[in-house]
Amino acid sequence: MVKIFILDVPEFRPIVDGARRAEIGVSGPTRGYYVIAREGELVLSRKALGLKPAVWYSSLSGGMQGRIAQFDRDTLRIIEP
Amino acid sequence: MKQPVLKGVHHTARPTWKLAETVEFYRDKLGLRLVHAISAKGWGPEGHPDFLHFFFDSGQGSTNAFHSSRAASVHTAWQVDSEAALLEWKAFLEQRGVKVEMHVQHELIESIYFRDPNGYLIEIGRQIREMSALDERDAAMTLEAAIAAESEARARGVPFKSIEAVWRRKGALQSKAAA
Repeated sequence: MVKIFILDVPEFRPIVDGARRAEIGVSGPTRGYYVIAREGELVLSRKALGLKPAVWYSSLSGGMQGRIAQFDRDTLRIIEP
Repeated sequence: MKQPVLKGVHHTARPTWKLAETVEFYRDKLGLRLVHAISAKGWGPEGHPDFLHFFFDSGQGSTNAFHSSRAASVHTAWQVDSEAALLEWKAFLEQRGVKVEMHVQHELIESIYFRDPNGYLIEIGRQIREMSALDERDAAMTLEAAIAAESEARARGVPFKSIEAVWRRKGALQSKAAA
């Protein structure tokens, strides 16, 4: 299971909202973090989330379970560890 | 054009290659609260490495900040109290022939950057929201993960450069806290 932990603050909220729109599992917030989880791989698009680059490149700052396969200006792909 | 005003120092930033010692000194010895930490994959100018930027409260709304591993990160950031004031500064600088190199919306601060004749980087920023207890707890966990990753890199005799190792360790701390 690939998981990312998103701090419950306004600047990261678009990641949580975007995951819900894409029907990716979101739980929480628990102890201040949302957890976004998916089997196999998790793919996020900066443009779809509407994030500015500085926040985009900090998307994983709450922690992750998995391995980064791609992280560029528009795509973040995390795969099983 | 009217002279725009500054509202004091927001943060001063210096590079560090010693996370564990720096946190031990400022937080544990001097007693300054670690109030915020940003970790990011390198982006922006070509070759910008992954980074960790963390802030110790130094009173009156100011912080003493450190950037992991980048000598070019030395800078002072002054604060303004509104977006209008930030845009006034941008226009004022440009009108006076000072090139504004970047205008960036960070997590907690929206900033413009320019250089003085010495080449020193100067930032003017407006804080978007107040730092909270949640930011402080998150910063503590980020630094715990980063210090562990730094310690492991030291033990292996390799440079500590990848933020992914910090994020994975933080993920493990999150899972441990949930267990």
